[in-house]
Amino acid sequence: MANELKYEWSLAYRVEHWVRVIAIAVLVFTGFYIHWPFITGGAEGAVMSWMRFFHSVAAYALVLGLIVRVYMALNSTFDRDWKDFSITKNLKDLPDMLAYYLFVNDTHKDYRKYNPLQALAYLFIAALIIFTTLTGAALYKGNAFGFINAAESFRWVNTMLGGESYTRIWHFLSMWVFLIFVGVHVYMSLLQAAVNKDKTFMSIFTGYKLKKTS
Amino acid sequence: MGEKEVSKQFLEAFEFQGIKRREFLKFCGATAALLGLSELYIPKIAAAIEKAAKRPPVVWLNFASDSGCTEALIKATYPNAADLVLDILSIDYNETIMAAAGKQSEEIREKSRKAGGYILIVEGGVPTKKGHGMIAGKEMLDILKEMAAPAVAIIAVGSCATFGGVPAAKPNPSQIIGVTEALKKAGVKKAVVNLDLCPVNVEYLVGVVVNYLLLGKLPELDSFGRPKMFYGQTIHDNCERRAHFDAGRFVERFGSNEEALGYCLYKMGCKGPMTYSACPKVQYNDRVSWCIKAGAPCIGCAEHDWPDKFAGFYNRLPDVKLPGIQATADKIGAVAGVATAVGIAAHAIASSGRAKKAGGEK
Amino acid sequence: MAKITIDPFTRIEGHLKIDVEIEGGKVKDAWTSGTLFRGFEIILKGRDPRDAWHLTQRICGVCPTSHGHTSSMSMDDAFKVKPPDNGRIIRNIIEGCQFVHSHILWFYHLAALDYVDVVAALKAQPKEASLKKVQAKLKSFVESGQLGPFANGYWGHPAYKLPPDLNLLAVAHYLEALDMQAKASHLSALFGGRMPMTMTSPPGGTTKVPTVDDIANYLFRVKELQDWIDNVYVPDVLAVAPYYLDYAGVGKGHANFLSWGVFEDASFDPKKRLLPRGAIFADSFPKVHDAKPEDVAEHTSHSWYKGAKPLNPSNGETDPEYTGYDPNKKYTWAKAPRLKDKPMEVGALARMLVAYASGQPTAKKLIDSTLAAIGHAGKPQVLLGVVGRIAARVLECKMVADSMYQWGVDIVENIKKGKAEVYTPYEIPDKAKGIGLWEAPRGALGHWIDVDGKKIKNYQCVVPTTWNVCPRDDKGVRGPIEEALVGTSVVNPEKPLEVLRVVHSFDPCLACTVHVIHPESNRIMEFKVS
Repeated sequence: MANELKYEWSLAYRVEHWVRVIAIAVLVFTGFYIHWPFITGGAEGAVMSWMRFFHSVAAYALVLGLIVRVYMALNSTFDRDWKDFSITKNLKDLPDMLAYYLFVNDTHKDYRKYNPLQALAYLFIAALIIFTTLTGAALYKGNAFGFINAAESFRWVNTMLGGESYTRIWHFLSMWVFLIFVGVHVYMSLLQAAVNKDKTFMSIFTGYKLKKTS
Repeated sequence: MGEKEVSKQFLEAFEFQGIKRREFLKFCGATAALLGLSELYIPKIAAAIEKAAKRPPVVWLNFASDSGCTEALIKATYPNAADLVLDILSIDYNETIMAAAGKQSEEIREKSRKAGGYILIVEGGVPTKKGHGMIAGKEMLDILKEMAAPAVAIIAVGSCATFGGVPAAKPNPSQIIGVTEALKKAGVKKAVVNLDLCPVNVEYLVGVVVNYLLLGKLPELDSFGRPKMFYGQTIHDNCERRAHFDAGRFVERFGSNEEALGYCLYKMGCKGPMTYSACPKVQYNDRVSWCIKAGAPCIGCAEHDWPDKFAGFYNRLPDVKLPGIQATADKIGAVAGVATAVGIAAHAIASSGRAKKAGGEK
Repeated sequence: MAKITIDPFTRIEGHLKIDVEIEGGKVKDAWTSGTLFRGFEIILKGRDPRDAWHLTQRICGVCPTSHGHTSSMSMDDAFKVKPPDNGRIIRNIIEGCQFVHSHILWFYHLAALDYVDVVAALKAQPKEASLKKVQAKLKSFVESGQLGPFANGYWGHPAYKLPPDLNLLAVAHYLEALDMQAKASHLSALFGGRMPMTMTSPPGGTTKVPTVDDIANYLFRVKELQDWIDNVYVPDVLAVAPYYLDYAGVGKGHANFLSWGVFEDASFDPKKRLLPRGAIFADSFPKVHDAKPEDVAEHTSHSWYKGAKPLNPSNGETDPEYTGYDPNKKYTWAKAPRLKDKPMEVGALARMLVAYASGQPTAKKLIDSTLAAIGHAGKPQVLLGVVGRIAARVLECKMVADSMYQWGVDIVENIKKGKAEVYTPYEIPDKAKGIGLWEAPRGALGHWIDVDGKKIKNYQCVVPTTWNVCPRDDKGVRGPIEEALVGTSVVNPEKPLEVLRVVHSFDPCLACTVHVIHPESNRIMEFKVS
């Protein structure tokens, strides 16, 4: 059983990933600022304007990134991976993976690209992006994409959540979920790289990962 | 009597209170601006008011309120309270200002009800607990029901009448509801114009009434029944301190130098970003001032969820509770973050243990 | 024996019902009943204490500022924080504007129609062009058939005694006063952001940092009010008074008076306030006694609450229980507060008498000259009653307006001296108790706050109209308005104008009154109408 380098992530996948990383970083930083402006502007400049500007731009990047990712899942020339996200299949395999992570078993089954926990977590993140975008849109007083009156079109979100006060709080809490995900995600990839010595962590930079050849 | 003559009489009526033609047109101009109409409409507004040979009758009902909206009404400037009472409207029933009392005032209400065709203005919410709100031995809900049917238009003024307001705040001891809900409960199907604010801005009320006199219909309403012309934009969007917000210049303490410089009140708990109202444009009391101009953060009183979902007024985010959770959003975030870090650390230690064990086996 | 019920009782704030029993053309007995219940104290429980000063303003739309200030003062007391001098003055100014506004409104728009026959004004034969215009206008107004708020008054009642010319003048001033009361309110908005519901007086001082421009604007506007009070309001009262001097002894009531004091002095000593703290009892009139919050007890034997013992507001104990209207048992939502077991009248007359008897120089001068003018020099007891209440309000209005000008000047002086601070920062303590004692235009107002875990644990208000409009106490002693009504002649029970006069002289405000509920039981009862 030897290991060989496999081209796991095409450039498109990697770019999409890093766009998302930057978007989330910007969103979290500017979001914290909008939540509580910790830098005070002077006589010149427009700190809050820039923060809100970057927050919106990053939000567009995050949403569009998701759309591109969904398109790639369905229609990528490199790796159409939508089947890997089957909820039923992943749920069935989930106990196996959990047993491994919780130190019940020392090994786990081989999975094609994502283990079931991973696939479900990524699906959850997609849903979280949609939720955060909707709550964000409901709080946005401008015209989304230049023509959708956000406040009017997304007022139903406020109504569903019980008022704009609640929308704000959910929007803020969903950011914390992103932060937690990022923490766990980075840890998992470092762990994988450390335990399996398969360059998992580096693969998102290089595209190459060590795979068992059987 | 020709139109010209009516007009002349009307102007004389204004002059009798020392109001000159110029000032009258100024009122019409203010009204036009309020309604978002071009100046071309000024003569039309003047004509509409002048032509109303019979002053439109108004019945003003006062329920579970503190009469703050009646107080707001009599502080009107263009037109002022005397104009409203004598020249523009016929305020047939308002318990706070009417001369008649007791039996005689009930007679007036009964007469109005039979004649119908009045504009019904409601101040105060409707208590639905028996005995918690009675006028002349009748439940307020019953009075509303019988007075609503013959009205040509119903305007709920102030946050109590629209959605219950402060007396309907948790736990709502008298089970007070707004007019829209009360009418639904009473089975009366009628559109209600909701002028949410505590107290109502009298310029909004005059704007709606003039709009009605001018166009013969009620203004376009948003999903809460509020006229879009007054509730279309947030206070934040039109705030005189907005430039400071954009620049990141904030008041951190009342009475500070930043306050004197008119910096943004965002960090003092201003609810302007989530409150829809034309307050910054229309202001209060002859446009002398308004909350934020006087250094006070907006408390959100123009919104239907006010006050519960906007309190504490001096906190950046309202102190609202998610179902079953007693902590603030910041606390939840911090706890979740720490829990994650602890979880990761524990898992990492356990993993290194497993790695050593695997290494040992090899 | 005839029994009259006046419900709704109009030209007051709120929902009031008055029952009087008439025998031999005179009131033999009377019952006052508050008919709306809102339960503010329950609502306040568990909230951020700093929100209380906003929410309690909604107890009353006529005197919101007084509630706001009293609430903030209860927190100033609880948080051990003192507003800086300019903060104190700005609060006084906002409060002063409300007093001036309220007294003008009360005299011209709430009470005047009990004395001025609007229809009789048509018979006047004015010489002045301006009055002729008013009359012509009034004529066309009456002829239009749409009398609006003037419809169905007791016009032509024999108790209306003014000559037609004076009626006409009063009508003209009724309209002018509508403008003036609005102007007084605009003035409070200058420092308060808006009126009603001012925004700038949180615990610790004020959020409004005054500019020189504000002060100039303010002084100019105060001058206009002062002129109007001196040249219209005061002369009007003096012109009308001679025709109603027979009312001097009517509506005397218990003649016990309470004032917590209003308009804070730089020393923060309530006895040095512009209108000082003190109580006057009928048996030792006009000696001023100390007024202490510990001496207050609220009785509930005739109100729709459970509970037997009279208790101090700081540890009150009551359950609401609506048992139907029964004058022999329970008949109102208002409780019956007593000071040292005595029913106390509150309001402008109480404040002016306490100020007068405490030797406050301006009050002394104003009252002495008024007494001299009506030929009763040195006899303040003639002020006990309906006419005295009217006189006290106009004198107080003048006194406050004059002081307001000085306060504007004081702010500038402080700024000059570099004392421009308007707000003292503070931390909300975990546990604290505080009392705010102040005056609304219609009388003594107290807020009791109990903070636990930085949240409101207990909040109690004892408001002016509760003192005045309260029912009988445990000993069956009538409330001040009830007592004042006894003995009033009523010529025509169908049109009980005299009853209106007595009740209006107290300037009742019912929204304030009926909000009380026990904070600890926090129980909402099921109410049945019998």
